[in-house]
Amino acid sequence: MDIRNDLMEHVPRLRRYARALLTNRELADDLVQDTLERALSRSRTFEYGTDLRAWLFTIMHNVFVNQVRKASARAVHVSVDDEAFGETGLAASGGQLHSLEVRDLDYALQRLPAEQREVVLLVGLEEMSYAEVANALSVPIGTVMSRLSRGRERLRSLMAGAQPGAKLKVVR
Amino acid sequence: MSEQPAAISEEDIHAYVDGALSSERREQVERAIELNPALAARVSDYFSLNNMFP
Repeated sequence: MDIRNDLMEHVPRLRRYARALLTNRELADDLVQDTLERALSRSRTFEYGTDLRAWLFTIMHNVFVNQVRKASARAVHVSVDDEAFGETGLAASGGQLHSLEVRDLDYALQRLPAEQREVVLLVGLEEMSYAEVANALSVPIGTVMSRLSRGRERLRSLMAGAQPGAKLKVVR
Repeated sequence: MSEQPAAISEEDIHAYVDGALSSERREQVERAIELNPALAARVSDYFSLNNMFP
């Protein structure tokens, strides 16, 4: 049986998620393309009757992680020091986000560590349950919760223009 | 004031925003929010964040 047609139904969602994950449109479309190619080459490992969307997001996650690993091996980028960002370091007072726009969200999202960005988007954009996210990322549900909690709180601080307790540093 | 609200974790707050709590737990979170304006503002921001996604 050919899953090609079923795959196509999921392409718009994969693309929407990829474009939120990577604001660079070309890279996002490459991510979708690589995901579809890998899915097709492994279609025999898909069990009919199971959740195709979850299977595709798992593949996309793996492709994405590989890309991030390769990119961080050669690129210069700015990262936020995870350890320095304790709960106490957050200065946003709250109730300020209603006036912000979606482009601010895009900007802030790109400042999250990739693992937090994935969780925030899978829950917020894809509206996956925590269990589905845990499954797609192959991590325990507790890890999903802590990444979500840290990611959202950091987004909130970034978008409120607060000075987070984290240090920006250039990583080579 | 003897009615101490049930302890609410970070996870509960996010699960509340995502509609992933049991009704009993949800009510406990709602009570905690009513008693804590800072928490209420934070929860409001989390809802705003979720609503910004298309």
